[in-house]
Formats: sequence, structure tokens, C-alpha cells
Amino acid sequence: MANFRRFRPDDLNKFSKCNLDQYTETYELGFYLQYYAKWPSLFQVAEDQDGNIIGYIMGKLESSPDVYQFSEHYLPWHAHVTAVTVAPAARRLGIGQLLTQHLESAADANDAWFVDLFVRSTNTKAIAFYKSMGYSIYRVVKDYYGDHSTDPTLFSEDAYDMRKPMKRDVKKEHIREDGMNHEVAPEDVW
Amino acid sequence: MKQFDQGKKYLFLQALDVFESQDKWDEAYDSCRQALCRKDEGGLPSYLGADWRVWKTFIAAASKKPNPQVAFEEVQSILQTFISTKAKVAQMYKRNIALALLETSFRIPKALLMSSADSDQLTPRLTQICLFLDQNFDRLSAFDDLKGFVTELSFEETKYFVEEMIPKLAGDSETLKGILLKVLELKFRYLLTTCPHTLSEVPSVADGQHQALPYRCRFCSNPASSPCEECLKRIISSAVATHQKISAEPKHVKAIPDLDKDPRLDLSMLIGLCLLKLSGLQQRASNLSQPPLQDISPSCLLQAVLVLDTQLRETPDDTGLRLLLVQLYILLGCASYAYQLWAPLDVKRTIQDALSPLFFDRISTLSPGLFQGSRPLLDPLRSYYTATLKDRCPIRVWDAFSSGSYTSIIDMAEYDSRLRRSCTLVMTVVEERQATRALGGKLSLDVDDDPLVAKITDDTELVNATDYGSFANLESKHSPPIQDLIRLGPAPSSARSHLALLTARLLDVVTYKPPKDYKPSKQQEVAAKEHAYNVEMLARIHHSSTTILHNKNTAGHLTSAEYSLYTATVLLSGLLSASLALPRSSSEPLPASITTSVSALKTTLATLRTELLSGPPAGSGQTDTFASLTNMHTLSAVRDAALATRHSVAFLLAWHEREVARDRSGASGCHKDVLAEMKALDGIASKALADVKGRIKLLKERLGEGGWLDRLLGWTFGTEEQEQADEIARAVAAVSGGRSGAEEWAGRVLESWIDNVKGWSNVKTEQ
Repeated sequence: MANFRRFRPDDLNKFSKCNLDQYTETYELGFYLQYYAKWPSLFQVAEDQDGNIIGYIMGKLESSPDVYQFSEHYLPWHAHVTAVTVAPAARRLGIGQLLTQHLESAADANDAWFVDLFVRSTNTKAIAFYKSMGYSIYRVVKDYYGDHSTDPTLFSEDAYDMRKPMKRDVKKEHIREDGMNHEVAPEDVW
Repeated sequence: MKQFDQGKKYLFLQALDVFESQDKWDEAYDSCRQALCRKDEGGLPSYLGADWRVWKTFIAAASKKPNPQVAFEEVQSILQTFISTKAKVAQMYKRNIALALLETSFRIPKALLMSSADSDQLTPRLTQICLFLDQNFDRLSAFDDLKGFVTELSFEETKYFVEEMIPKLAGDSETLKGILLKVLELKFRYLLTTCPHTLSEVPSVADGQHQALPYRCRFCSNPASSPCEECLKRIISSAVATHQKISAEPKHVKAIPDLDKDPRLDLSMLIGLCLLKLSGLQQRASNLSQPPLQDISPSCLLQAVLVLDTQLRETPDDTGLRLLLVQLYILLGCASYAYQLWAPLDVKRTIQDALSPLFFDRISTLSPGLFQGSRPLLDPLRSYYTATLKDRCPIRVWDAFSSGSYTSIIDMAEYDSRLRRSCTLVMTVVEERQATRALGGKLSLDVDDDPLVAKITDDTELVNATDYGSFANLESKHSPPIQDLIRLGPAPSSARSHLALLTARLLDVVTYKPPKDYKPSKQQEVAAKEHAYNVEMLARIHHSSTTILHNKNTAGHLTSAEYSLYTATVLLSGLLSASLALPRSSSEPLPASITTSVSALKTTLATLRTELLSGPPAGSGQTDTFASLTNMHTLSAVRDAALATRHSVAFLLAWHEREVARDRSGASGCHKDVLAEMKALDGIASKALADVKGRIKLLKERLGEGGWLDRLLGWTFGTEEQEQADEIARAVAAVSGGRSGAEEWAGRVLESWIDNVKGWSNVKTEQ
């Protein structure tokens, strides 16, 4: 059983099913509350029948600062998926997909051009998951992560910047078919 | 609903909350119907409102309509539209639809049911449960989804369900489906042992015979207490057999990685939970105040820990199992090993407030030695609160203002207010201070000056927000959850937190020593002010601690040792404030406030000493050593109460000596009868401290003796002959690698006990 609703701060006391999982990062309180304060409709949770949080997604709406307006890396008004997680006990129920769809609806409601997210280049499961939802690789951010998830001898790992166009992007101007060929440095990513 | 039609359901959900709380079921019904009838862009039913919560409210509202028949026809018709399209939606929604069907079968008036039952037991609602189970038996959530429904069934239905229908659904018991359904059957059997309707009361005297047990189990027909021990034993035997069956069949083992969860984890959990109940922890739940393992059978408890620990080695990522073991090892007095299990959970930053009590609550009373590491044990918690609460304004609230997120503002302010009143926050301060004092360290601040708790006043309502969400939840609502059985004592509470703060405050007063280079020019004036401050402060502590301790609910929030310790706080603060204010030259008999405090304090110290020195209850099967190793909490309370008494005596005597030196007339200082009583109290407290020292010395000697592994295995399984005669002990040995397999575990338990006693050897028992 699950209910989907907007996050509220008390949910932080019910995060254990998600955040005790070794693959889920726990942030400082201010980080969660910043998202709740600025983009409450993009912070959605799934709760079980006992009120435990079994999944959540945090996102934001933004564009690059005006100073970058003429940069090739300028990002127009878009939604960004900052974190999405589902408790191990609640996986394989499509909760991640539903949470992402909630965020996409909010992105459309806020007239965003696209939704984007970063994923480790070795995280093939996540990449396949996002591709199944209509996301494609827009560019490769070289050495974005300061560690490597599968090879302890390496000190960095690339990120794929994946995007899905929203309703506003009628002409699909903000996605690429050959995104794998577009490499950028971490400092180019705002 | 306009907002909802735009894809925003926030207001809709809020409206449902309001309708339900105000019993406005017509409005709730109409809103749910409207939400569930919404179509998406393709003209298909929209799943925006198809949450379980909406279905549940819709069905509840239908049952309250004046004409439920019409309402349920509508519910079923809407459900049908979802069923026709469910093939294309996420598993989550399919499950919600299946559960809504199930919920309908439970809430629909009986007159409206078309009975297609094969028998009296296979009722329409049981048929729905079986259909759900058949479709979802391999889902991790199947048990949780059905749990509430199964506990609503009549006894006849439940018996038919677990004894007839599940085996029927399972078919061949050797297949993976058969095994998964067997695991579910055992989980339901365990659940049903926690439901009162599976027991029937028997008269205390029947056929002229006194009946030892108050119930007869309707499943196994044996005389029973609650829960039925015979049923628990049968569940263990069956779970062990299933566990072995899985491990023995390579194709089952090969299939496990593709399952939601290793079924052996569920089986080990079941075995562990049944053993915990058999150990007597269930009875303890009715009185969490008593010493942790009093009246507990050590063999069942140790067997439970062994089975669960063996399973954790196989599935180290299961956080529920890990947390359960953390609590169990704390209960066993193995704090250092519990910490080894706790650390990999990596509880940090925001989740510390809700999760830290699971390890740190009362930890200084169990294992002060843990605080001797290179990094202060509670540093992460202190850093978190210091950083998060440094501004008086709720964190990030200005972001909400500037973004126009006005609905977020109130929630953020409430969360901030709650965090500043958190029992975990107080726990951080109190545990740090207790450990520092125990190890003879210096406290840089008085508790009142600690910025974390400086704003907490005696009437602040403190809040416990401990998150038990990851614990196994196999009990019915009629039985306490497992975390309540295995916690060292009652959960954090406002009353306990305040009493701990007041005790810290008392210690600050009675142990205060002015800096050596402090030489006030007007010594008389300063002494008079200091005296007035002490009288006032002690009177305040006495007043506040008395009010809290004498509240009728407070005893239920404390262990018996804590109750005695905080009673000592009440009495010492009252005794000191009265003694400081009593004229030395008074020829009247000592006022009752003093004499009764002294006598009550003597009784309190005697009670604590008795609790410490009395061996395990006869017939519990515990040895003195086991009882002592698992009750360091009482040892800590004896030490704290005795030292507080000695500090108080020293404080009063020091004041008396200063007054005598200052005023040679003989009019100032302490009344001679008070002095005599204080000296007597000091003697009693010294004896209590000698008991503490003696206990630590004895435990050190005992743990230094040889043969410990055999002894521990003997406590767990009995002698080898006893093990052979005990079906449960044999079964436990079978899933934990036998005695030889358990040796490594026994070594870890022993090592942790040794660590703990070693830490206690560094605890100060002198002023």
C-alpha cells in the first residue's frame, strides 16, 4: 500500500526505511528544507500504511544565472531531479517511476522546457530505467564524481546528464540524439 | 477539485483529512468519487487520485452513506473501470486496486454480499484474501498488505485460511511457490498468536482443579498463556525445517537473488521473535520499569540472538535485522558489540534525531567505557544540533518567504520548534555529561549554560520522535511491537529528559568549585549571594523534580533504577535547600521536611542496593554472573545516587565549615542534628559505592576465569544431553551451525562483556 503526497518536514523522522539503505545519501537538514521551502511541489514522498516514507524525490526549478546567458552551456528554465530513492523493501513496485512522473507533472505545470538529472556512467540499471521513461543522454560530464563506484583504483567517474523534454519543448530543441559525443568539464555544468 | 483537475492533489488530500476528522462522510465520498472518476488525456481512468488512502476513504465513506447499496455499487463500478485498464499501470497501482477490492469485501454490508462460498469458512472476504495472496505471494509486501485484513477475520476463517487455504494455494511444498507460501503461512501463524481471539478463557478452577494457565489455545487446544507457547514452538520447528529445506536445495538457493528477499531471513526473524516471546520478554512489556532481564529465560534469549546474529552474517544489509540485534546486544550488556553493528548503519546528519536513541539512549549507564574513544562518541549529534539550531530563526524559513511558499512556513516553524524540544537533543547532553563525570573528566559548562538545552525550561514539553519504522512488524495491534519488548526501558520521554536535566543541574550545584584564582574582594557579600543562589536553585530543582516525579504517569516512563535515582534527586535537593535555610541554633526538633527526606533517602539507597545485590529470581535459570553482566544499568544508578549523596554531604559540610570559620559566634552553619544525619547518609552511600566497586572487581575476576565459551554455550543450549532432549534447542543449533558454529558468536559476546567491564574499571567511585 502506498500513498503519494507532498513532503512535509515531519517526514524526516520517518526516513529510516529509505535512508538506512547504503545507497541513499543523507543530507543536512537545511538541504531538505531548502527544497521544501523553494520547490514544495517538486518534493514528493511515497508512504506506507504505517506512515513510513518508502520513497521520495527532490527536485528544483531553475535556469542558469543571466551572466551565463550567452554561454553554450546555458540552461534555460527547467526542472532538475536532485535525488530520488526507494526503500529496498518497496522496490519493484514502480514507485520510482511514479515519483518521477509526479515531478514531471510539476515541471509541466511550471512551464519547464525539460527535466534533467545526473547519473553515474556505470549505473546501468538507473540509465536503463530513465531511458525507459523517455530520458536520453544530453552530454557526458567528464570526471564529475570524485570517486568511482565500481573501481576503487580510480578517483573519478563520468556523469551522464540525462534529459526528458517537457510539453513546452514542442520542437524537441533541448535534447540530442548524439549526447554521448558531447563531453563537457565539471566546471561547465552549472 | 479545480486544483486536482490541474494535476495538483495537495489540497484535495488536505480536504480529505478535514472531512474525515469532522465525520463529513458525504463530502469525503463525493470528493473521492470525483477524483477517481477523473480521466487522463487518453480518456482512460486517471491514477492521480488512485492512492490507497483515497480508496480506503472512499470505501469507508460508502459504508456510511444512508443507502450503502447504491454507494457500493458505485464503488464497484469505478473499481471495475480501473481493473479494465490496470494491465498498463505500475505495479503499485495494481496492488492498490487489488487492495481496494479486498477492502470492499470487508466493508460492504453483509446483506449486499452475494454468497458464493464453498463452505462456512471460505467466506467472500476470505476468498478475496486468497485471490490476493495467489497473485502476490512472491511480493515482499504481501504480508504487510494482508496483515490488517487477516486479523479482522473470525477465528474459523483464520483457521481455515492458514490450515487449509494457504497449503492449497501452495500446492507442491517442494516448489519455490510452496516455500514462499509456507513462509507466509508461518508469518500469519505468528501474527495470530498475537490476536486475542485465538485464545479462549478458561475458569481459574475447573473440575476442582486449579488451572495454571488462563487460556486454551483455539489452534492447538493446549492450555496457554498469551501468546500460546506451544504454537510458538511449533512455528519455530516448522520455520527451521523450511529454512533447512531451502538451504539443502540448490535450485532454491540459486533462485534467491531474483526474489524480493531471501526467505531464510524471514524464517530466522520468525524463529528469533518466537524465542524472544518464549524467553518471557512478552511479560516484561507490561512492566518495562523492572530490571532489564529479570525473570527472563537466558537460554531462549541467547538462542534468539544467536539465530539472528547468524542470519545477519548472511544478509548484512538488512537494516531491520541489524537494528533488532543492536537493541538485543544492548539488552545483553554487550554495548561494544552493539556499537560495531550500529556503526555501519552510518546514521548521520538529519536522521540522527530520529534514529540515535536506538543506540545512544541510556548508553552511558551501560557502558561508560565506550566514551573513551579518540573521538567523543556523541560528537556527530552535538555537531548536528549545534549547526542546525544555531540561528534562532527556523532554518531555511526565509527561503520559503522569498519563494512565496507560504504553506511551507508553518510546517517549517513547527519542525524547528519540535527539534529544539527533542528528547534526543537532551539525551545528547545528558549522556555526554554522565559519561564525562563517570570517567572523572572535567565539564567545561554547567548544564544550564549548554547552548543546546539553555532554552529548555522546566515546563517545556519535550518530544520523542524515535523512528522504529525499520523494525519487523509482525504483531497485531493487540500486542506490543517488538521494539517495546527489547528496549532497555521505557522510550525517551519528556518526563525522563527533564528529570535527567534536573539531576545534572543538582550535580552542577553540589560539585561546584570556584576557580583557584578567584579571590573576591568582598568575601562576605559574595558568600551571602552564593548561599542565596544555592538555596534558590536547590529549591527550584526540588520543586520541579517533585512535580514531575509525582505525576501519576512518570513511573511508567522510567526504569525502576531511574525512578530510585531521580527520587534521590528530589530528596537531596529538598534536604539541602531545607538544611541550608535551617538556623544552626534552632532548639526545635528537626523539621519533618528534613527528617522524612533523610529517612526516604536511606530507603532509596537501600532499595537500589537491594536491586543490585539480589541475585536473579529463583527458577529463572540465570546465574549471578549473567544477571550482573546484563544489569549494568542498575549498577550505574547505584553509583550515581550514592555519589550524588556523597557530593551533597560534602557540599553541606563544606558550607558549614566555611560558615563556622567566618562567624565565630556559633550561630552560623549547619544544625548539629543535620550534620549527624548527613554523616550517616555519607556512610550508607560509601557502602553502596563499595558494592559497586566490589561488583566490578567480581565481574572482572569471573570473566578472567577459563571455560567461558563452554559456559556461554551451556547457558544457550544447556548441557549436550539437555540439548538432545530439547527440540527447540536442537532446532536452533541446526540453523546456527551447531555448538561448534556458535562458538565464534559466543567469543564475540564474551569479548564485549570483557570490554564493558574493563570500561567500568575506569569509572570513578570516589568524589
